[in-house]
Amino acid sequence: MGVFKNPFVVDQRGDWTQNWRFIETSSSTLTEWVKMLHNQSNTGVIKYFNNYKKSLSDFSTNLRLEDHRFWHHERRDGEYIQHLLMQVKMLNIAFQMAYSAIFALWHHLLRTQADFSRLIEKVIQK
Amino acid sequence: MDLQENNDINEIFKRFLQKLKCRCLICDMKMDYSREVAEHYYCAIDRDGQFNDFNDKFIDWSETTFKDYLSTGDISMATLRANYENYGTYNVQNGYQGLRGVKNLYRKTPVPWQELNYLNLPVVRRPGAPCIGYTEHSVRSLIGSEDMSDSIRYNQITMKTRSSYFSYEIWNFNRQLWEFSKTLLW
Repeated sequence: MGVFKNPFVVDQRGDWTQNWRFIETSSSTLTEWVKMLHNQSNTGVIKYFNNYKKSLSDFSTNLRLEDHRFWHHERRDGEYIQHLLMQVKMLNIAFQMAYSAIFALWHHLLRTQADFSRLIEKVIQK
Repeated sequence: MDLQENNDINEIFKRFLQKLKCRCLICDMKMDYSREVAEHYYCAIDRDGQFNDFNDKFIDWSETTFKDYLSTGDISMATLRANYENYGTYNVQNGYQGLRGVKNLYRKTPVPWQELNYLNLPVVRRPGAPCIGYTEHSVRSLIGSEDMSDSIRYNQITMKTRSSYFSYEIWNFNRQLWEFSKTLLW
């Protein structure tokens, strides 16, 4: 499933996967192009994390999880514990997301550096 | 499939979360809460300390701007690449017949594009020969009569017609959500 955003086209559901004219007609240099790509995508990924974090915060606030006296007073201790356990699971998922993002970025960095070092070797040999 | 359906958006992100489950030996794959978390509803408490009459969803992606990310329906990176190679007559189409031969092309500082595996630049196609690409060299004595015209076109395709731009774009898609969930499947 295509879950990505092309920062250079307005209509994400248009025919850009077949019609690559948006690349041909770009007036940006390659360096500018790469910077724009990364800036916009990084914004998207950060927004994804922020959405999740906000949902976590809303969960805690909406259920008054910081206020154990409320739950004790309501005689709903068992329910309170269930909510806290769920919160732990949500935090666990957040950790997994961050873990996988870092894993992917290290992998990306390694392979990029490998390409770059090959290029340096070849240029220096000339 | 109409991707504007809210259910689809939440379903896609649920699948994304499921791919994030930890596969390390410590967890022994037992810590998979993705479905439970993605489908979790709870009854919030209002300002007066009363429980609401309705349930809130823990996370509802249909209310976010992430609808933009559901861009292309079912499409893989391989298909995107094949589409680009088929666009115009600039590149050798790897998925069709593949590279059958290369022509030497003089460049003052040759770049070993085929060794830059991760950049994985599409192979520039020689005009009139759909399966013939180029390999760069810097030996002046091997310069052929067609090298000048070939070289101009080759440069245009690599830089101006943006094969290099395409490679960076594909890289970038890989770094977006789609791939960083997939990478965990080691």
